[in-house]
Amino acid sequence: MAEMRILMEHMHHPDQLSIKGYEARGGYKAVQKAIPGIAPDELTEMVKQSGLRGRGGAGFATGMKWGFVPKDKALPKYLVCNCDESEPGTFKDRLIIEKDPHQLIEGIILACYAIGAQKAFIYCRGEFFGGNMILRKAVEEAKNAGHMGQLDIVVHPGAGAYIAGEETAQLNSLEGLRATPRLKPPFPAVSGLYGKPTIINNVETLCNVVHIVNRGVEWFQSIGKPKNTGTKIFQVSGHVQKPGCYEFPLGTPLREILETAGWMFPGRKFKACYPGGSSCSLLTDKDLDISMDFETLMARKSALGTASIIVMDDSADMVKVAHRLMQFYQNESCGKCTPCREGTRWVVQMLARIEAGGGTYNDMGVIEQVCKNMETNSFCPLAVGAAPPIVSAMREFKGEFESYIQRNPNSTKPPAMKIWYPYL
Amino acid sequence: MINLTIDGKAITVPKGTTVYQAAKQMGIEIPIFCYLDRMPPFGACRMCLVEVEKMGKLQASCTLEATEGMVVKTQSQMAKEGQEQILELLLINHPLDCPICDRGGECPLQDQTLKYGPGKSRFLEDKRHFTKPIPLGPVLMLDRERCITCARCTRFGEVIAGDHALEFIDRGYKTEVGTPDGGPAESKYIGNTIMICPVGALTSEVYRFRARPWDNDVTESACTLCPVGCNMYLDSRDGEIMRTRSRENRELNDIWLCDKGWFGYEFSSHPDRLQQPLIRREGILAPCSWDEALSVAAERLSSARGNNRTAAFGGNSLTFEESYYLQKLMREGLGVSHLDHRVGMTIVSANAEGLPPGMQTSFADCEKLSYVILLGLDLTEEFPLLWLRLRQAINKGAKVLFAGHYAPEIYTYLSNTVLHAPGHELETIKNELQQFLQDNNQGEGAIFVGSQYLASGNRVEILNELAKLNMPLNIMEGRENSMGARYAGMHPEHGPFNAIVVHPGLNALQVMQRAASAGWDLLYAVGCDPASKFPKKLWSEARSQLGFLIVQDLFLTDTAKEADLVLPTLSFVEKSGTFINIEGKGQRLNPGKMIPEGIYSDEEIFKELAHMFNVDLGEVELDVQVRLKASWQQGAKMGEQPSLAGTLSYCLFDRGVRMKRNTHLVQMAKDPVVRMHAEEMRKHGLQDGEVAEFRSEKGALAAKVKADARVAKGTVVFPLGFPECPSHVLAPDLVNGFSVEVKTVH
Repeated sequence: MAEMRILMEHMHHPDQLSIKGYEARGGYKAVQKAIPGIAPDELTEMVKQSGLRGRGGAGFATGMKWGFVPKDKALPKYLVCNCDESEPGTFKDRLIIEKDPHQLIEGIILACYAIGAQKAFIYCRGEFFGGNMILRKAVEEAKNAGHMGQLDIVVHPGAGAYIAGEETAQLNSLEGLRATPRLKPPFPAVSGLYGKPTIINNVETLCNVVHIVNRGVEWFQSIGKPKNTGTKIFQVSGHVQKPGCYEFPLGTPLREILETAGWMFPGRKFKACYPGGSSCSLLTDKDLDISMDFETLMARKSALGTASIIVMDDSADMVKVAHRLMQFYQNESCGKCTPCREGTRWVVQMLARIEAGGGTYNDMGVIEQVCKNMETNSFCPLAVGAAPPIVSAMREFKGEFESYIQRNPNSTKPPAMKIWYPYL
Repeated sequence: MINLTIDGKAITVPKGTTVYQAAKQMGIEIPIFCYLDRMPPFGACRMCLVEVEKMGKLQASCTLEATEGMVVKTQSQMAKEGQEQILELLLINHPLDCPICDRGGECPLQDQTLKYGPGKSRFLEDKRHFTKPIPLGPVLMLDRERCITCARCTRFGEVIAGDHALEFIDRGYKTEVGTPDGGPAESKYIGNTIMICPVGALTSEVYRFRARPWDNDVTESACTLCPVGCNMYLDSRDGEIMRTRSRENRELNDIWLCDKGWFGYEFSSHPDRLQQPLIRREGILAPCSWDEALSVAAERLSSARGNNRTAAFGGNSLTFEESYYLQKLMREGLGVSHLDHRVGMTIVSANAEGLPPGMQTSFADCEKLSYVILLGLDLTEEFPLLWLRLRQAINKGAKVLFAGHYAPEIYTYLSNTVLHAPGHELETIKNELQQFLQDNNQGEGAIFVGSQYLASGNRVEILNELAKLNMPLNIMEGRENSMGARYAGMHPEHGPFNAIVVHPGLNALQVMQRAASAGWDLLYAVGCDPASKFPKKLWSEARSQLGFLIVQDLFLTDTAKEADLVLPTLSFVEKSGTFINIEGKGQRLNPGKMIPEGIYSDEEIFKELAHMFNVDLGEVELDVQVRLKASWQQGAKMGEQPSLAGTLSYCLFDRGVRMKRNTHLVQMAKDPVVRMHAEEMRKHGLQDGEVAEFRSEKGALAAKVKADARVAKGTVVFPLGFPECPSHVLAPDLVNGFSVEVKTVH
């Protein structure tokens, strides 16, 4: 399979940013077609039929999610577009909002029409300074051009928290509270932003809706694999010659994507990659022919996630990789629940000690158990995603960890616990 | 109803019950930290993990709703392992300094570690360190190392008190408790966070390092520092009060206290306490024996018999029984009818009163209200616990209308706020209530009238108008045990149990005025301080013409300093008796502190005096459920509406006689400021923070003025209870709506 550009089709045109350029290439046709040509329920049904799955990481069926919204017309409803793209290695949403913002706005208009929302929020990562500005300008243009009707779109910058990408934490953040995840149920579709039904969709998901409306359900179903329909923007980063975004149908083999991205540098060998951002188990050279879709990767106990492939060649030190990744989760944990708040820090401390040559053989077991605890007992998906990259690295490259531990002459003895007397 | 099985036993619970609650009902204990049954489940600590059949992983039972046929195991190997792992994680950064921690001995973390912990930690790294205790205000100490970020304290401020006094700062393992602006915690309820903290992270600066829980003797008593009368425990060690704690009473204070209840006991052990009677000899107050003091008192009192120039003030700080004995001693023993407990309170005649203070809605029922009308009631300052109960109703969706001269600090939770200048109360009731009652007519409603309306010249008309609405009417007027004093008959126009007195006496203000103009023989001031509650000029004129002044108090108050005879007495933590709260319900007081040698209670003093006069005071019995009733009569009409009208505000944390001896709590008192709307200040050429002179018909006062958008235009709010700002000079009867003139002071 070759690259198949649908979302990225017009991104290379510099004037795609302006509403004129976007309209010239068929923009806002879907809005004109759907409103009022297609009834909201019908539109939801179309998305359901198309098999479109959320592109934000969890891969939940988008149409089904929309269907959860209460039909009560009097009840205000909200759409929140999750553009808080913070997963390590992920940069697809940024590409869309910086190169083709109107595609997103068109998708938002369609989604709001389907669920009956009068107000939409784009929760845009705060560090996307340019993206924020482009989005605001695009919203203004779309409003002036009359595409938005009664709809109001608010572009809201985040304040730099990874956890704000979790949907309920994002709602808290939008309301001006600490970005900590909320208890589910009630799910946002029933009681979300300000206690009202809210749908939270990823940027890429919403963009796909435009093309489903434009080209039809059957066309969309024909791309990819059953249950994994449509294309996906794969982001390849790390030790490849041509890192960047590549749009392929779901189910494309990993090898093909990496080859399109230029493969490793000359003289280097592929060692491992995280296929869906950092919050999943890594794949090794045994998995190069794996089909990149939600089901296959889940069966491999990894995840497609955001389809952000972080590639490591044979120069990568897996202990350092594990240590650095855990540091990320430690710093980004919101601190609400115990396993994530305490577990991430503990694992970082142990990995740091191993890296510094003070590790013991016992540490690896403890790390694995603490990670297991984090994965099963935490409140939200952050810690669930924090454990696999470390555990899988330790399993697949056990030797590297052991060689670090062997640098410690006392590697079989546990170090003495440090006691600190605060009042002496 | 839902049927489920927990640990092999079946139980049926209503839909919506969580597994934790169901287990608790069955008597099965599941360890937990973040959940408190007064707040919604949160699911943060993950300690309450249980195994549920057909669910792959452990579930947090506090957030898991019970479903039909669920099979829960709280003791299985898997559940136990989960609980152990969570406890291990909670302890890795906990300093384990239990031997020096105030919480040790009553610490949920300690208890649950012992019961459910792994016994051994695999943690070998450095613990997280913070600077050891940092003060968050004068009464609260925070030890961030001990904190397990269960969020109980921050959620208390969010869900229960609504003041957001404590918030989390930073994230992840760096999460720490702090205040939103980094300054001291701004709350009237912060003591409760110490109680609900499951570790020793929040401790009381007042109690810190003074006792271990097992050292304390516990006495059940009640707080007498505001008219609510919250139930509490007095914890004492070697006869000294170490701390006070809330005592659960679902009908009144639930499990909460305000900070006056938590920290307002310190004055009872202050070195300023009077140790022995003092008598004026050659112009100087000198110690004397009780025999001498009582015989002088008896002699003076008996010589005043029947001359109609004797008065007794006091009762707010006495128990009901003591007030009863005092009025019986005076009325029956000496034929004195000039009795009044309203020193420092609004003084109106029975004719102008309309209805006496009291409540028709019980505190517990406040949580069930669906619409509430607050009229001129600054509830957090005067009845702090009422706010916590009303907040529960607001959490359930109750709508609240407030009308008054200035908005209470909880104004963000009000659905409608109407601000108006003093004097416009009647028209506000007529104009604003109708719409609100039309919009909100489902469920139970209630009206709460507060001092801004009750201390108005139109009190009778206001109450008449409100009575027409046919809703439960709560007349929220009182200071400390003023209900008890009034019930007992410490009122010139009412005898015990509100009996009408045939020949009414003069009220406190009238006595002072009569004394100032025509002289007076004897004044017996019990637990009150007329010298600082009446204008200085009036007091000094009255004092110069006063034959003999007997003061019975804890401290050498301004009045006591000028007395001829001073009798020391006992504080509320040292005596037994009954406190009648604003609901009209009696709360029992019991002594929790060792009674200081050589000091007698007011009751003993009255009985001893009665013995000297051969008066039998008898015993008094109290039916605490009866509410006071009064006849409806027309009152006085208001004069012309002033352009700038004054109103008075009571403050929870003031600098009164007892409060200023609570060395920690008094620091929570803000400097007194006179508040006005910014526009009104501009009109009068006033700058924020400058000192201005306020003049009324009755007197003048210089005070700092502050702009406050919560104050109605045309209104000046004067604080009460601060010696440095004697607002009562402007209106000695404390009736609001007086005309005020403002002048800047250069």
